[in-house]
Amino acid sequence: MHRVLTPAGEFHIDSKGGLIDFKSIDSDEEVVGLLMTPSAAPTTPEGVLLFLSHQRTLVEETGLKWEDYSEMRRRVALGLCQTYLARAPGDDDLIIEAVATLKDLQKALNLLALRLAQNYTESGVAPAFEGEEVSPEAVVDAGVSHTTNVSEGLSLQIKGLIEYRAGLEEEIGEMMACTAPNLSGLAGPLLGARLISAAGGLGKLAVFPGSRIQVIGAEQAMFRHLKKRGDPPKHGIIFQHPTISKSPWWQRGKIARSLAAKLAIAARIDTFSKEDRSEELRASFMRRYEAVKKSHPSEPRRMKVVRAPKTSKKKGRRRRRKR
Amino acid sequence: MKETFPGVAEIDGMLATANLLPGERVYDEKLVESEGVEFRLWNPNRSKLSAAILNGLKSLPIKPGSKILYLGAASGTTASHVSDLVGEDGLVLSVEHSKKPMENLFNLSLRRENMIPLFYDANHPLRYAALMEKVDVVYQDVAQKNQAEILEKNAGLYLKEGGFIMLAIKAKSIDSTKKTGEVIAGEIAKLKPSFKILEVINLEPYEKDHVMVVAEKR
Repeated sequence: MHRVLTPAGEFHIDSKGGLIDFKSIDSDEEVVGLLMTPSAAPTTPEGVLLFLSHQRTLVEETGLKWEDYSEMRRRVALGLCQTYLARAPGDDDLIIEAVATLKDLQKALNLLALRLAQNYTESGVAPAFEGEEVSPEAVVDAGVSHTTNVSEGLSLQIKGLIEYRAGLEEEIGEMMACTAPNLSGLAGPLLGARLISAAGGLGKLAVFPGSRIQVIGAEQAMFRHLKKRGDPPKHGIIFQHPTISKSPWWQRGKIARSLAAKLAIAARIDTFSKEDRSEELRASFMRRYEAVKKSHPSEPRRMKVVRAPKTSKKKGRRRRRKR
Repeated sequence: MKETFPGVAEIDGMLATANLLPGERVYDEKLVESEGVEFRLWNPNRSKLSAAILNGLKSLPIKPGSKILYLGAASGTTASHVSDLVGEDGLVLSVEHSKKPMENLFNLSLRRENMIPLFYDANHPLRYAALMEKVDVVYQDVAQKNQAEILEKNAGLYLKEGGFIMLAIKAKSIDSTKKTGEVIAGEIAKLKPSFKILEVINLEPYEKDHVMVVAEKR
């Protein structure tokens, strides 16, 4: 026997598609509530296939007219859709959630990898790990023989988390391609997602000027600069973009400025039209990038940096707190 | 005016569908009157189905009175023309998983009585089983890596025997490193066990690296 929940009620049908029983549900609200809790009616592909192939006959056998059933279904579908819409998080909320998860996951992985590395070193499985060797992947690979039960369990968990992280990154990539194709194409999916997350949403990022996008993630340096006249930061998290991180220091600021300006345009297209123009944006950024590389090929002679002397006397830049 | 397919008109070289709700526009399309009927012009740059028809589609399985399962309906640009095309006796069940486009689609479905919005992930067709009936055509435009699998699952449950599928393939969303031709050939090969391929239409110059596949359920 199969049970199939429909907008009109629950059908019980036999394995040939004949009607055994029908429990009608009178109010649309009740059906909507039931349909939102999938456990209310166990749906199997077999049951659905069977029901749909005899749907019209089954519906009419209960005394309902097909037109009435159709009308009922439409009302229920619209009601369900409206309820889901009211509850659903926006697409950028999902991206923010994924970015936060990825960040904590990375932290946890590093912590666990450090623990495992120490276990291996202490039990003589591997020599001491240094610097970049403590990456989760490297540590997991190091322990092949003479591992203790404790370490083996931990290593297994770390492997699982590494796999989960790869899946999460892929998922972020897919969400970004859908929600923000231009940001994703220009910055790469992960950096694009981090920018959305730092701004608190795609819509918010879209109203940021390029100069603000340039220093997202460098707030500490920015405020130090504004308060105490330190050097302004050249880049925040957009430093992760290979065109910046792989360029020598004297080119980075110029490239960061131009990348940030293009990212601002990308965020606006993503918010207001979603049309994928990332290739065009990318090409125009790369032209600027090449131009910077060409016009500033070698390290400039360092100018002597003259900083404002540190004095305890504040020249009225800070207001005294009112009592 | 001449009729390209039943329900699809050609007016001065441009495609159009008879407006189901005269006087109302869905996006920024133009409304034109011809022989006493109001038509909505169907922009091939906005709609892959329109692009496919203009690029020489031989047969269109979506007809007046057809029931359509539309996967990846987005804001309903194309879906609204499909709704015009199938008319009052037809049905467009449109699945969309993203919130923002669904808001549009929901409002559109409130106005158009032959449209039913399904705010679900097309990866899990059983979740909307209660609202379904068997359909004549599954139209899919989802830009996801496992699109062949999504189509297979949905057509398996909801497509009538001898029903048709129309699938828009975006090569870049499947594998951006391989050549377009290779990716598309690979995707078509995945369909062959369950579907008989009838047509493959290149959507250039309206859409880059896209094709529309029409096939029949085996």
